[in-house]
Amino acid sequence: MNRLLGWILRRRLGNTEARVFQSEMEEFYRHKVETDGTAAADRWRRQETLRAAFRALTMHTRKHPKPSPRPKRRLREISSIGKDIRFGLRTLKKRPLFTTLVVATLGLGIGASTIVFSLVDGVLLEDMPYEEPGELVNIWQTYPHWRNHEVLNEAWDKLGLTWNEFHTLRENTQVFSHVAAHKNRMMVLTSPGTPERLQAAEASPGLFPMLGVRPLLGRVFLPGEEGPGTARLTVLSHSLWTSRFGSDPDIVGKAIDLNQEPFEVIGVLPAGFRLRSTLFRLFNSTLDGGHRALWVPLRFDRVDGSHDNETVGRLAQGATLEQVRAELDALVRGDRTADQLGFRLTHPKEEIIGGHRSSLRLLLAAAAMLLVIACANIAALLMSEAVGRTREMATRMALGAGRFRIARQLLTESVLLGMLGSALGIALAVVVGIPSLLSLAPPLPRLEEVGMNHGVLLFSVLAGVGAGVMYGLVPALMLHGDGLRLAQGLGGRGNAGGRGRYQRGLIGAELALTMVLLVTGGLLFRSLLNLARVDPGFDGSSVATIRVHLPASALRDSENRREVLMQVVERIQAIPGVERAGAVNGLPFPGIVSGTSIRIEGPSPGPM
Amino acid sequence: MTRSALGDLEHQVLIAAFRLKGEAYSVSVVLEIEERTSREVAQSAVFIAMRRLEEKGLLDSRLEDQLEEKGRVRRYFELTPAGLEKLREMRRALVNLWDGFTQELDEAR
Repeated sequence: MNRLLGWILRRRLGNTEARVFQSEMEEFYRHKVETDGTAAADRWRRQETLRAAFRALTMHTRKHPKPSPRPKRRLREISSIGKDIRFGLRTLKKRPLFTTLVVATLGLGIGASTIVFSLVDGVLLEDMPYEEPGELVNIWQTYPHWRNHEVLNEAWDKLGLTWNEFHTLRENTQVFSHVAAHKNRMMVLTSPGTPERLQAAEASPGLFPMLGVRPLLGRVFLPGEEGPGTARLTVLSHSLWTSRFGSDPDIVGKAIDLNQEPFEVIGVLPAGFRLRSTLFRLFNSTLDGGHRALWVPLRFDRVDGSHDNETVGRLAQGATLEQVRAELDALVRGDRTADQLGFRLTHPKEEIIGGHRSSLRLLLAAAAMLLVIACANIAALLMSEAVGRTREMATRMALGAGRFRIARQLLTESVLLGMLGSALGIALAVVVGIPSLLSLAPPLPRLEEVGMNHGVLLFSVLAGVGAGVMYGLVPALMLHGDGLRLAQGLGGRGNAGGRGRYQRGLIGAELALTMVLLVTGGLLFRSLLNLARVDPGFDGSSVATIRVHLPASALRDSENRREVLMQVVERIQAIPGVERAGAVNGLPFPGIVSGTSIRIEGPSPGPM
Repeated sequence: MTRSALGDLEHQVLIAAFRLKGEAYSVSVVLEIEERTSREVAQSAVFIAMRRLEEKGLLDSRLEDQLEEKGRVRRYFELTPAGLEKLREMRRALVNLWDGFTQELDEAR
């Protein structure tokens, strides 16, 4: 608020006077603290800030020092706009029912648009929180002959690189300035505190520097810390650091137990950092998943052929995607044909948003339509109001007010209403809308980036002002042509015809928009019903699932794993209310794919 | 109201500035008016009124950086000869208006 006041004062009074005012106001505040106490002084400051902003915006004085005569005209213009604003506010105050009706209608419309826009802004528009995100490229392998495979088709174009492929690319690349990889790993934080299953990840040492992410505390991994027998080091995400370790500032250097082995905490990542896993989302139904709670160095085994290294490269200056493809063909594909192995390059943001783009756009269009309908309603209200104000307009015209001047006054009033509507809409969005959106929305990617920010705020204010201009133009236009007679209170058929034409047009437009909204909504609802009616082939009601992770270090062998699992099942079955319990390594639908590496001795058999 | 006529607040500010003799700035003027009228006035209103009076040529100002505290700055105002004349004129007008009337007001019910 103080910064806004500073800005207004600087614009209206000039830098020096703005500084003088803020300094003198601060001095008076301190005087108030001494005489009336801090609470009263704070209250005074809030009120005085609002009063000062309003006075500065509507005052009649010149900037100090006195400007040349030229800006004088501009000042008169501004002060007459100030007069319009004051007059507008008085007029609105005189008609509380009308004002409340318009502000409430508009508030609901803008509130809905603000909520949807905050979603679109957070998910689609905001940049990824990395350095120069446009230069980053995700590298996927595609296996075109898997496309029609019953099980593997889901993953045909979403395979990571094997460690050997990643290593070759990293060592020999000409088109990337950096290449890094990350890989999912389930880990159990066994100490301190109660054991917790965590979505963790392994990172090649170059990953964080490549993304331009600097640790909040400590450091990230160094070259040489990856390998078959990796150093037992870990970097915590900000959320884990705050939730599990109470934001301990001395966490760096301390040991925590992961999978019952001690790991040294070497750093903590900043709060805004997120790097999601596409593979995790592919193989686990949680769309929003893939947020990693902690990081360990990339662990590899030269014979491991798993395609689970999600590889990201930063394009070197001037490099193109075509050059990347050519390099991948040369370095990774080797002698395999294009049908056996291809490459898919994506930008990280595309990767995450993917198919949600069109549905979000549809939602935004629906919200915009809702706002337009609200505007049409208000325009109709304003028109009937204008009829009630005929006498006032006629008097003003008789006293010498020009048509433009009156139109400007009407427009000022509708823009004022628009701004009040914006304020209500923003309040509704912040207090009710966005929080319930976040708790009720389907798991969308990047949902945590949704919220009120400068962009969303600007959108709401512009929506209010734009709406004000839109519905304010109708009565202002009525001052011309047929409507002029209406404004002059001459009556007769001409005026009724003019008004009727505008109103019929409005009702027609409103009806058309409402139909579009209803039909779209109905179609979406039908798809939802159809989806709910799909028979999955099993009865999923009153079934609960629990994920259990048994770290290899805690088990002797696979026989032991079975024993432990059976014990878990037995104990669950013993809980009152549980009818049956069972265990499976992959639940239906999440499409889990598990693999085992087999090493064949002798010459390579070629691709699958 | 003609352009040279003064509003209530401008009137009060002019008197306060005269009383404060070169020490008038928004804080001291607000305190002076509040003390004598027992009514609260907004600092921003006084601040702007003083600039308006300067624009009308009734006040003159000087900017002073407060050396004892960095960043603190005040603008002091003083009456110009035209300001003094205006004050005298206003006083005369008021005295004439009240002439012989004070006792009657006290006794009126």
